[in-house]
Amino acid sequence: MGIVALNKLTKYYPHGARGIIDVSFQIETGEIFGFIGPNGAGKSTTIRTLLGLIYPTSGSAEIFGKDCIKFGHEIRKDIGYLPSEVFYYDNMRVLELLKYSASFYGKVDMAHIKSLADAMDLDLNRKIDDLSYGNKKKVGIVQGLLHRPKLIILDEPTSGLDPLMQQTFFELIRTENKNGASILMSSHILSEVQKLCSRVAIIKEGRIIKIEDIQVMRSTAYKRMRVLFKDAPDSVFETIPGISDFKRIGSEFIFLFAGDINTIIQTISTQNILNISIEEPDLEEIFMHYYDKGN
Amino acid sequence: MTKVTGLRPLKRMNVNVLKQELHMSFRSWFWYTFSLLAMMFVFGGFFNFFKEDAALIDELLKNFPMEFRAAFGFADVNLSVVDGFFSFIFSYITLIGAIFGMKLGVGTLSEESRRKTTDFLLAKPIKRHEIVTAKLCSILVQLLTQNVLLFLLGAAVLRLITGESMDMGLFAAMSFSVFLVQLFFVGIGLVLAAQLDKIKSVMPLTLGVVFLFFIIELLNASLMEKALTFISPFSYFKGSDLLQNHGYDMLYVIIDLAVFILFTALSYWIYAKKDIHAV
Repeated sequence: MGIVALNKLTKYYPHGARGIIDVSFQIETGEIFGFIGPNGAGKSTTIRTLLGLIYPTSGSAEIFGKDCIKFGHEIRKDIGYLPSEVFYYDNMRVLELLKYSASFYGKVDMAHIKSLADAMDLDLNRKIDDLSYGNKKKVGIVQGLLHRPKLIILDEPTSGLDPLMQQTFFELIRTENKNGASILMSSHILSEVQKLCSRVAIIKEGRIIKIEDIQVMRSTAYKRMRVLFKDAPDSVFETIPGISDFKRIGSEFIFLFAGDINTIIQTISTQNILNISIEEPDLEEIFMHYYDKGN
Repeated sequence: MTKVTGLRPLKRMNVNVLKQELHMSFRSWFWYTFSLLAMMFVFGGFFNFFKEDAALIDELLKNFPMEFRAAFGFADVNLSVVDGFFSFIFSYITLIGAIFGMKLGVGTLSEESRRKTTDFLLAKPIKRHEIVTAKLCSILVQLLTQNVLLFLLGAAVLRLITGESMDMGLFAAMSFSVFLVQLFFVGIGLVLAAQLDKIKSVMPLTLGVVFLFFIIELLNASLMEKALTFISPFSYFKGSDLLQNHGYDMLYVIIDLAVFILFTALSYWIYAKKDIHAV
């Protein structure tokens, strides 16, 4: 039984704005699950429905085996949520806000708050109004984790964090994960999903187009090939099946290849080659590939 | 044992939001309450002048057209008599009080959407109606403390500064009519806050609505149109009527409370049903 299970979750907005349609996936306990798609694809709508901020038009979602609307208040005891943009009440100090946040979960564990703040290099005595965007985000991270949630939901978590802080943040998330927390993380930046997640769901225009193991995704035999010819052949490559995303810069050919590597090597070797490189494509390229196929 | 552990977090949940609400609104509560008390103190102090020159003032006021006197609340009360004078003061204190009540209704429930903190609060383990309840409690605490202070200071001004005596039941009725009118506006404010997603600032909306009802009352007073009396809460507990009836006309108390209860219930319903969109 997954910790999160979405069953044909659908949300239509009034005025025809796109919501989500028949979104189904499961997150297993202890997993770090990525949720990727460009802005406006429906990531936030899905997440907000899980949190009970938005009511679904049809379909349902369960977290910890309970309906996320009916038992929302119970479920949220064990959820830590970091919204994509963080806002807080004016005129509060960081510590005041964190204590207020903790008060919803019963007892305040000051030692834990302090250790999280230390890890994120966050000054608890500052006024929130005076904080930079990145520092506000850190407050968001601490307040999302301070009650040791079983499920952590991160919506575009790294925007506004500098690369060094992103590293620290990822470390923190990995630690929470090792301590038993499951994680759902949405992003439009594949490299960060790649760093953390074990599985991803790809969403496009409100529909899930693929759910894939990240290892499988990367090893689906796609290779990024660059071949520099002495005299570029004219038409040989167009006849080879499995080539996509073909680009030609002078006498250099750049393309993605999926299929039997022997056939392509044999074809290439009939020509006079100056240089060749065969690489794992980055996730971005694979993603675009899935995305095109979705069309 | 299970009962205790089951109840405790629930109680604490409501109290922490209530505390936060009171904390955030203390400053505005303080200044509104201070202003109301200052008004009571300063205007109450004027009574002695009115009393001394009663004949002269009556003469002066008679020169105003009837409609004007009616509209400004001194057509059918005698300002040189202490109860008439206080009923006149209270009509203006009620106006300021109403503004505060409306501001609380609109401001408290729209606090999160204005500050964009809805995600923060609603992602917590709390039901939406519990949030509305905590906010409503905060409003009632503020209004009740304000009205008790107003009554106490009013009674002190009456006794110590004017040196007159007045039926204290009647005085209490006058004083707490401020609270009743405030409830009317709290109800309206809550519904507006629950329904309108994009309230940027509270005061324009507050002043607009309160003055709309105040103008209806001014029209009512000068046109003497009975039907208008039901529309504006400023007409429900007018000093001159209280003096005549020796207390409230229960019909208006019922209408007033019905508006408060219905609109508050409606705001619970809207708040619980609405989608909270990303900012």
